[in-house]
Amino acid sequence: MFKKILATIVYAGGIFFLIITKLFLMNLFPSIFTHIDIIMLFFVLCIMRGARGGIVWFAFFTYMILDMLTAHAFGIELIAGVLSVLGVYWFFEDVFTNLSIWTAGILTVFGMVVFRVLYMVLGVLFARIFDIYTFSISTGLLRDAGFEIMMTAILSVPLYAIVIKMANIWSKERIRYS
Amino acid sequence: MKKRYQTIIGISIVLVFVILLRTLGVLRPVENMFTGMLYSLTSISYDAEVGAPEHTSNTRLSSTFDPELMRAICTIDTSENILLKEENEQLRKQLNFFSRSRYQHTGADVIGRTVDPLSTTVTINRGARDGVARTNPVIVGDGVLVGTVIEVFDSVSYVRLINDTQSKIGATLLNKERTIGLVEGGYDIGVQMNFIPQNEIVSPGDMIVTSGLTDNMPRGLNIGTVEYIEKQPLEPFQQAVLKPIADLSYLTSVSVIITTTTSQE
Repeated sequence: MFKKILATIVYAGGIFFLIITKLFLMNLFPSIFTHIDIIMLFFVLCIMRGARGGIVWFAFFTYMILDMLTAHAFGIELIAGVLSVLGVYWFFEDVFTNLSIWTAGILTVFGMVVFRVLYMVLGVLFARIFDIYTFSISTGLLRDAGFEIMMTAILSVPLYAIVIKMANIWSKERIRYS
Repeated sequence: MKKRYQTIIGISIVLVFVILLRTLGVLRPVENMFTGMLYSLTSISYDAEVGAPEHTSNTRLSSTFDPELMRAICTIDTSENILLKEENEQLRKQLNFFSRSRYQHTGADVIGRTVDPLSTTVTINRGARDGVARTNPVIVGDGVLVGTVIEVFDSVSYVRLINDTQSKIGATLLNKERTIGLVEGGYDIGVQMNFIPQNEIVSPGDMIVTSGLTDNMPRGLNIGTVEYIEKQPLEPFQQAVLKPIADLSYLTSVSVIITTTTSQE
C-alpha cells in the first residue's frame, strides 16, 4: 500500500516536472529550441529503457494537463499524444526491438509523425464539430511541424547515448559496491 | 492481438469520457487551478526572456560596498530603467488611445507563451473575472492590434497573435481604393495580406488597418505596413507581405478591448 502511494507521488511529481520543463523551454529559449518536443523524447527514452504499459497512463495524464495549457480545442493534444505514445510502445515491441541510438531516432520520428498527423486531422475535425474553433492546415503549419520533427529526432540520438552511458556507469558502480 | 483491441477500446472510452467532462465544464475548476498555478510559475522565465523589468529590486542596495558589485548593480539598474521607460511609454500611448476612442478596455500583462510550438499564442493575466471574453481584440501602444483572445479562464486568457498560422483578420489597405483583404499569419515572423485583387494598386509603405468585417473586431486598429508585394501574372489575387507595427516577440503590457460600445451611448 505504502509503495503504491509513493509510486503515485513520484509519477505526479514526474508529470509536474515534465510540464514545468516544457513551459520553461517555451519561454526561456530561442525559437529553434522551442520546437524540441521534450515530452515525446521523454516517453521514447522511457519505453526504450524498459517502461511497461503503464507509460501510456503516464502519457494520458501528462497530455491531459498539457491540453489544458494549449489554446486549441480540448482533446486534440490529449488524443494525439496518448495514441502516439501507444504507437511508439507497440512499434518498439514488434518492429524496432534493438537498443541502438538509431532506434531512438526512428522511434522519435515515428512518434512525432503520428502525433502531428493526428493533431492536424483532429484539429480540422474539431473545428468542424465546434464552431468556435478555427483550424486550417497551411504551409506554415506543415513547415513548423517538419522542423519540430527534425529537431526532436536530432536531439534523441545524443540524448539516448547519454542515457545509455549514464546507465552503464551506474550499473558498474553497483557491481563494484555489491 | 485481441488484447491490443481491448487496449484501444479502453483508451478510446476514457478519452471520450474526459473530453465529455471537459465539454460539460466539470473539469473547469481543475483547469483554472493548473493554468493559474503553472503560468504564475513560468511568468518568471517569460519576464527573463523578454527583459521585463523586475519591480522589487531595491533590496540589493543593502549589500556591503564593493566597487565591482556596485558597478554591476548600476548597469542592471540602468537597463531596468530603460525597460521601465519603454513600458511607461507604451502604457502612456495606450492611455492616450483609449481616452480618444470609445472602447471599454482592461490592461493586462503577458505572463508567458502557451506550450504548443506550432502556434504563436501568449497568456495574459486577465480572465473572465475581469470581463475578458473570447474574440476580444488585444492591442498595444496607440491602437496597434497584436491578436485576439481565443480561450478564457477565471484569471488568465490565451491570445492568438496576428502571426499565428490560424490567425485570419479582415483588413483594409489605406491606399486610394481602400482595398479589402485578409491578414493571415504563418509566414515566419511575418504576416501576409491575401485576396487583394490584381488590378488594385498597392505600394510598399501603405498602412493596413482592421476592416471591421471580422466578428467583434472594431474598424481602424493599426496592423502594419506593406513591406513588399508578391504578384503572379496569372493569379487572380496578389499578396502583400506586411511588417507588423508591434514587436510580437516582445510583448509585456497589452490592453484587451472588452466592448466597442461606449459608456455614454
